[in-house]
Amino acid sequence: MGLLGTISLAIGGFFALEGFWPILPFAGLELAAVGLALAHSLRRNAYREVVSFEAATIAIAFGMAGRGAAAKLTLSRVGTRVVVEAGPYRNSPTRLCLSCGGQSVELGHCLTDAERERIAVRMRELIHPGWRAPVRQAAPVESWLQN
Amino acid sequence: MAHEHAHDDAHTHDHGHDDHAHGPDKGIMRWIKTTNHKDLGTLYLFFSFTMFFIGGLMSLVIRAELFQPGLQFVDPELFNQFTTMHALVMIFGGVMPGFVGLANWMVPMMIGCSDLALPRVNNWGFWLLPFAFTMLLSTFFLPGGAPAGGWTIYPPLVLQTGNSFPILIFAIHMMGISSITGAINVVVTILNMRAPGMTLLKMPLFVWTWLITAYLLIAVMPVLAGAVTMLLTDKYFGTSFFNAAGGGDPVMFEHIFWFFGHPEVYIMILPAFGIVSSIIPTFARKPLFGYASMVYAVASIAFLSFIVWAHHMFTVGIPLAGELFFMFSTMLIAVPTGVKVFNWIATMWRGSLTYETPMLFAIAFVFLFSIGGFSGLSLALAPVDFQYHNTYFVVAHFHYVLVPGAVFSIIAAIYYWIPKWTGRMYNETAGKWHFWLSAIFINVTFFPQHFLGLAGMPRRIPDYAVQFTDFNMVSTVGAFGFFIAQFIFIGNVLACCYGWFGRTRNATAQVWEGATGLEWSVPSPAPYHTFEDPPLVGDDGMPVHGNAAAAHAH
Ligand SMILES: [Cu+2]
Repeated sequence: MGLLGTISLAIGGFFALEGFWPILPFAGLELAAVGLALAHSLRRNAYREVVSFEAATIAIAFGMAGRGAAAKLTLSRVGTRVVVEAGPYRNSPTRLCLSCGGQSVELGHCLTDAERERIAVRMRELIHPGWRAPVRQAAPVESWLQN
Repeated sequence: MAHEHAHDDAHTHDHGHDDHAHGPDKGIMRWIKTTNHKDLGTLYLFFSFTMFFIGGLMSLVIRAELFQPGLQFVDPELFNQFTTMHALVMIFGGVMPGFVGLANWMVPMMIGCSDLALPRVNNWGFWLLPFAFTMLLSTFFLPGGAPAGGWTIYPPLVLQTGNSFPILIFAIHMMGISSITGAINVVVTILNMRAPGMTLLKMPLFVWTWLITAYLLIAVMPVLAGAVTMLLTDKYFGTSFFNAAGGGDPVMFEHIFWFFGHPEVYIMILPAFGIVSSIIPTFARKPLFGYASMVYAVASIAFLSFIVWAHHMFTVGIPLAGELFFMFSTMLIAVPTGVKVFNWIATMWRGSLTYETPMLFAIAFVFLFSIGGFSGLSLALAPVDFQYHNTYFVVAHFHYVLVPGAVFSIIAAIYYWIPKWTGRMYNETAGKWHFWLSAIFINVTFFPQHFLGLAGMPRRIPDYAVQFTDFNMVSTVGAFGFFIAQFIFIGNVLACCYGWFGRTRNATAQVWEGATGLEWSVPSPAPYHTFEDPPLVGDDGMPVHGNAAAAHAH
């Protein structure tokens, strides 16, 4: 990125000095686009949602990897339902929500429909013990969620 | 309520793609709205071949007119429009979108990620192109006709263009934005989204060449954008960037244009190097000879492309020191190019070779591209160039690097990967017919043009002196033969896409006995989404578990 910026601005700057300045703003615009794209992608790669099941509560944390939780939320484990609903339009992605009383959080926005479905199934298994017979042995959380 | 499993963490993690419903949408909206790299790759390739067809028809008009001396079919003004538009359509509509389409399909599958980094930008970048080219092609129907000043759009000639001029500039800007979005997407994807274990020096050469190509694009597209904008302001807003009467310098346009133009030439050939470097090891059943030297050679070629531009301008009148500098820097390019050709031949050396259609096209690429390279070396010699400049020798040279070079590599890539894309094998007999007819007719078309150029026939003329007739007739016959031979290819490809002639989805995951790389670890046809779970890449460049489990078809 540094190299690219140097080259691009050097070229644009040289032509600007020669009087052909319209190249420089295009170079600037384009570098801004490259920077934005890189930053956007890095940021999105670092985004994490962590859902922890405690004895009586479900803790949900959102944030960037390595920088701790930016937002936290605790729901009652007994009173929470897992809902997967269809999106607003035909073919739009489904929405996975945890609802507790009037509160509702959307999770896994960036996953695929099938992945959301699998998480929903797993979360229902983990929530059920609160008000039904306890599950004997919770299976380990699928490792595919943790890449 | 006693709880042994106090912590069960479910991490949800962004794979770098936004909206995706799991299968493709139905109907036309699928293609308009799609952000899927495979869909967009397909769109790019269909667009590219539509443009190859239109540009090819234009070349047939040109060749028909040149079949005999005198004016038979078109008047000189229309002839100039056809040469100009043929070049613009083939370069910006055919070759570049063709390579972007291949990058769309293959880069994510080769580095083990699920899609490009910016899928919506990808959609936008593609859909700019049909509009840009519809506009550009519509200029044929304007009063004054299409642009006719040559694809190099030199002022002051190009400033005499009529109503089509602002449309030309606007179309070039749109193509530029499209190329930049493609390039940014490729760079960000390769830098940020490689699967674990896919280190830079383990990437397939197609990915490497595209990374370097994308850097070149990002470096030079602002130069083109600035140059055409200055043409626009010179014509309509009274500036004098290139207007000598107002204190400007028309020769400076040539410098600026070729500062963009020469790297652009390499933008159109580096991905071809990557394709050939993927195909030859597969059919030689040996790893690529000199992988690291290939990467360095591509990087050196990219660097050199910035310091050779004035070899297009030897006859303009630049100082002797300049002529020498650009002559030697240009000749220097032969060194890394020679390294690459050597490595391809060394890869085949004592390999257990088979000659399926992709391999035939790849070998023809090595051989015929080298012929184009040699004529390029001849043109690089400043004193000699004074004779060759602006003759058919130049036309022969760049058509050798672009057609049996760039275009053959795109064709080879399609034969090579289409079983992966569609799950259906192409027809090998038809492929061989297509190859031999193409290889023969392309030489019939362009080889005689060397002789015409050496004998002094200028380029971009609709009429010529009678002594040039024989070679021109041969060339025209070759051009029509080549064009007709491509229908075999179109039929073969469409049969794979739509399952004509009873083609069934029977391709295996690996397809080719000697194929290695992540793309061959997923089933054929490749599922709509691949590598949603990044594979772990081993030292051999294959997934560590060595099976197709990495890709799940939902
Ligand atoms: Cu050049």
